[in-house]
Amino acid sequence: MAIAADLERVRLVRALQRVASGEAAALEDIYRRTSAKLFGVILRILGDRNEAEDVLQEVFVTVWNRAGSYDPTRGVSPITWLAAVARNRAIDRVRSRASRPTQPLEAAAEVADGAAPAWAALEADDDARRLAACLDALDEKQSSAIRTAFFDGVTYEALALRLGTPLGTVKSWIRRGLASLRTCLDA
Amino acid sequence: MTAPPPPADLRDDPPADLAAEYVLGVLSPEDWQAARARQATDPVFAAEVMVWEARLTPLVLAAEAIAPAQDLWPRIRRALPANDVAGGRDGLTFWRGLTAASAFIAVVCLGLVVVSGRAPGPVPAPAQIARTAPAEPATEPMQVALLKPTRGPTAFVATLDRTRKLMTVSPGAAPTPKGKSLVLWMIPPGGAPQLLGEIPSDHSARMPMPDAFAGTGNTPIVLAVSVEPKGGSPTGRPTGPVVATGRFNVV
Repeated sequence: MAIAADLERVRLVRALQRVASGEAAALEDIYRRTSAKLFGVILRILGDRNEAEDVLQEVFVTVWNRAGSYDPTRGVSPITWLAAVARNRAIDRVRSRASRPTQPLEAAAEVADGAAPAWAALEADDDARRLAACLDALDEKQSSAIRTAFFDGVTYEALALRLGTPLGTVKSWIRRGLASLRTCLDA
Repeated sequence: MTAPPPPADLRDDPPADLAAEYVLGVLSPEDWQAARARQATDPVFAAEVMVWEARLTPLVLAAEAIAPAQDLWPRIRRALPANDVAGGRDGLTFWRGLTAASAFIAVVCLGLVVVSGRAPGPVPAPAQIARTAPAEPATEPMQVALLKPTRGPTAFVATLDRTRKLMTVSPGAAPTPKGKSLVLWMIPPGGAPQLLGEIPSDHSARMPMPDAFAGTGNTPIVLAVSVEPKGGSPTGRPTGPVVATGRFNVV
């Protein structure tokens, strides 16, 4: 499992380096390996397939232009970097449409069957495992508030409404959770 | 101290970690905008943001994998900006000519491009695209605008590199109507459309960042494409229907 994850990571790092030197075939390789996962991330935040496809397109144009700025020596795995680009783009889209509420996730019904078999390995990635362990160590309310906020891209206010909990309490859960998370991850 | 004292059980809360809250996405729109502006000007804050992104992003990898539409990759491939040196040089001449005032000059330049530019044909395979200084660190994020009709797929993709002061525009799904030209405009808030240039029908064009883009700060740059007579708008204003609009949002 760990070996498969390492291999996948190395493949993606190499592909990003090839994209940085202008190889479109390498971008296609990254697309084949990651698009279903990244699409899942974006769709989860936007809830609209057409919009999510536009954002995925933006993500890959960004990767084409900016692959050279990915630095594997900084300790961020390539899939984490790609997911950060995807999530930032999606959040940006949510913020720019401001008045429209986030859609619920019925869209997730169309699951890609075996679209990216390498994913099982990627999820066993060290970063993800450590984060999961540190989140599990938090108070249940804190970890669930942090997961929901990050996963769905919602503000304190939206989260308070969704949970039916006073704003001050939600802020408190999240701030305490973030502080503990930091201590745990940096340990 | 304008804020009321917090309830007793909240008094022991750690101080807010703005970078963490920004990355988590929980800030109000105003605070989020302020944090984003700070990210661009405060390197210490920007570094904290990066560290929090690295800490939290693995969370989203738990999202279910969902296949996007089958035709999305071909669409992306067509939208990749052509950064090859020869095309870029032709593109520059082309755009400089078109942004220089009169429609007459524009028509002459068009002639030159037809003579000296690449032959019209299928969109060049991105595999052959050569890159200029790809590893050069950009100090400002690349911006992307998808220009779309009211309904339907993205028609054009524009990218803006403020660091290198370059803009590229790639044609997407929309064919150029027969005997017409597609012209790109910037729509300033409350102002008249400003001519940016003509969009080639079959390949990407690269142009210097229009002067009008400097100093737009956090205001989104709104772009529009109109159908004009061959060779450009006869009046310097859009005269035909607007077929696509979009705007640049910062990454």
